[in-house]
Amino acid sequence: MSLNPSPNPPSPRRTVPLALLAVIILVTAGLAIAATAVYFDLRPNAASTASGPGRTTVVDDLGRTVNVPLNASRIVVLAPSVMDLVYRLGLRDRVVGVGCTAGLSGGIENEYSPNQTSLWNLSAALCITDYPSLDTSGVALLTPELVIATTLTSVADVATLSSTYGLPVVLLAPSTMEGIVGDVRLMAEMFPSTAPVANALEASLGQTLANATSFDNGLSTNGTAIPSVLLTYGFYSGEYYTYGPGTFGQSIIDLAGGSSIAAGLPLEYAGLNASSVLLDQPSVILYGTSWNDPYLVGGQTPSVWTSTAPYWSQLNGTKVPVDVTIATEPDPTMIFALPWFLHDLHPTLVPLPSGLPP
Amino acid sequence: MGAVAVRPVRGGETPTSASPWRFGAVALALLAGLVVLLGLSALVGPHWLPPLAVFAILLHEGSGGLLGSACGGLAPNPATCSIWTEVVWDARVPTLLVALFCGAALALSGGTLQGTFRNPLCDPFLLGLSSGAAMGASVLFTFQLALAEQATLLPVFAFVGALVPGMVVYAAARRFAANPEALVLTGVALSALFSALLATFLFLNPSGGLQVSFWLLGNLQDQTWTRAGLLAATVLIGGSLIVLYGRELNVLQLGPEVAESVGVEARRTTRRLILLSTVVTAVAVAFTGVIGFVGLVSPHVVRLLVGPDYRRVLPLAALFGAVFLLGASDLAQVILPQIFLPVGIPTSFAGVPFFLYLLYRPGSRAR
Repeated sequence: MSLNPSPNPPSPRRTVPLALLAVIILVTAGLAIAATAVYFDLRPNAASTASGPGRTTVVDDLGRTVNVPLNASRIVVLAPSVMDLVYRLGLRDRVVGVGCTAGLSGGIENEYSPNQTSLWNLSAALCITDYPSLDTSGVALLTPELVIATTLTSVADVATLSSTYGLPVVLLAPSTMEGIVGDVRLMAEMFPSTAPVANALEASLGQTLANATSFDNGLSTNGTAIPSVLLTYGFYSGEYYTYGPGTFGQSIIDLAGGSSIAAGLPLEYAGLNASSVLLDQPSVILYGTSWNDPYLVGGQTPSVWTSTAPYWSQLNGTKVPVDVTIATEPDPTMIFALPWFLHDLHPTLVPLPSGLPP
Repeated sequence: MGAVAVRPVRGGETPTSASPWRFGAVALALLAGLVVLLGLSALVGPHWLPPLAVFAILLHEGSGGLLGSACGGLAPNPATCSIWTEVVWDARVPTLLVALFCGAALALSGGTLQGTFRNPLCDPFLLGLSSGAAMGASVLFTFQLALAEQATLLPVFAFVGALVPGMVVYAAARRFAANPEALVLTGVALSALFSALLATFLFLNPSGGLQVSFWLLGNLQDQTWTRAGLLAATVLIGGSLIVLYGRELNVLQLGPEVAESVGVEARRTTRRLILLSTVVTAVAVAFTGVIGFVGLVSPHVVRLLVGPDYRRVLPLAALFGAVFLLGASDLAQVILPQIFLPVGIPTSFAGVPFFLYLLYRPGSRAR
């Protein structure tokens, strides 16, 4: 293929008037299109500008101010951690859609464990595709009054829901255990009808956190040995993937009176070399098990761990399987699971709580 | 690189530009394809809407409410009609306009850089614009800047990130305009540098990868009228200025010395074309991320159809790029309606076989 034009190139002298005319036309067209486009975007959107006695303004976890309807009757939920909160507040019946990887095999169970799917009565009929992009028009066609998401939803998708469809989008993205409790209060602001349930939930979560903190403080004053802990959500290529500083996994270990062997890592979700784990010999190994989910957490079921995790048989610490969603999704269930973690790390001091883990 | 890739001009070579009739026919065919695709694209989406209702919405909204009725009376109730209107007019139309102008921008930019650097392998991303944009976006997420305003700042950071490598190459062109290989290699080096920075950021903050993956995969979703307008204005204004340099680009193919001898200021022309291409590409990348192949293949396809004269190649490449990206986007949505396939994937799947066919078909100039 030749990039070269004719060997007798045309003269570089331009026929200015014609070219100038073309430029003027195109520049004018460009400016006109830009002005028209801005006009279309600036038109008031009925939904986004709605206000009145049936509405309130809240500040979400990202500091966004959002005007929302009180006691919205149609909700779209875009993360399992939000669904947990919605369910506990008795709002499940108002959920008209949940985010899921609908186009991939596994459907709703790519994001929701079988336990969650069953408990929350979720089905593929509720699915709104959210991978790799959220089906924003699908959300709009469900005519929700409120969309509750986390930072797992891209900022571009959140902007589209808000600006294009005028939907109020609240982001629940707590960064601490206390933040999870704060989200209960935020939900109660948006759903005043749930106030009694929300108050009870907030009190219960606060008490559970206080108990764990008290136990943890007591350990240091009593001089009780602090167990070293590996909390891992998967293994790959000779590494155990774990929760570093600033993660909820780290907070769980701290509150349960343990010392994470990943505490000194510079990264949040780093891989620990399996041989260094072997040398460390953590006292307790909490290993995250999934439900054979091929996309999100590696598909590592308990049998996969015991058969193929590196140096598994040579790790002498107590090995405890943990539903990976509990250590990963920042929701009330994470806090209510703390008594079980306390028992796992201090079996002689903390009796096994009655009932099943949340 | 360029010395290897560019065939030297030999005396007595037959002029390869096609006739004006051929140019007109190709232009008309592309324009017709564009019009058809624009109409079809409004019908395509993850959710089926009645075609007549879609066209009624286009007519009604496009005429400012003067023509037709909202949804053509096909919606079951006003609330549903309102949502259909938002889906079609406020989501699908801006998206297809962004696809159109983004395709044009990438193709125009690719053709310009291939001519400026006299290198057929050039495309807008060879200069590091894509990795610069992704790196710019990742800064926003890695350092958790302006959490509540990230959606607004995202294209701004990406745009600035894309400008950086382009401006470095532009600055380098002040001294090395006569050495296109050095300029291209500068871009390649910058691309590697920004890729390394991006990888470092993602390593430090893996959760930021979710947001940045938008740039890495290319995505036409989440477009707005403002974005479409900004891109349209940039492409039409920047593109028309680029097309004006068609003659100079033709002369530059003979080398800077020859160009200077016939009155073309090679150094200044090179710098201006790099600047214009960078700005046009940076705006497109800021809104859509990295969409590969369009910028590389479109000028080549057009060259195969109408010859190497840049006065013809550049405007037709823009048209072809628009048709190509719009078509690839529609194809992806028709084949996999449940998955928002990053548009860079269908552009490659659809484009590579077509490109290879054009290259090796009987009678092709490339054979």
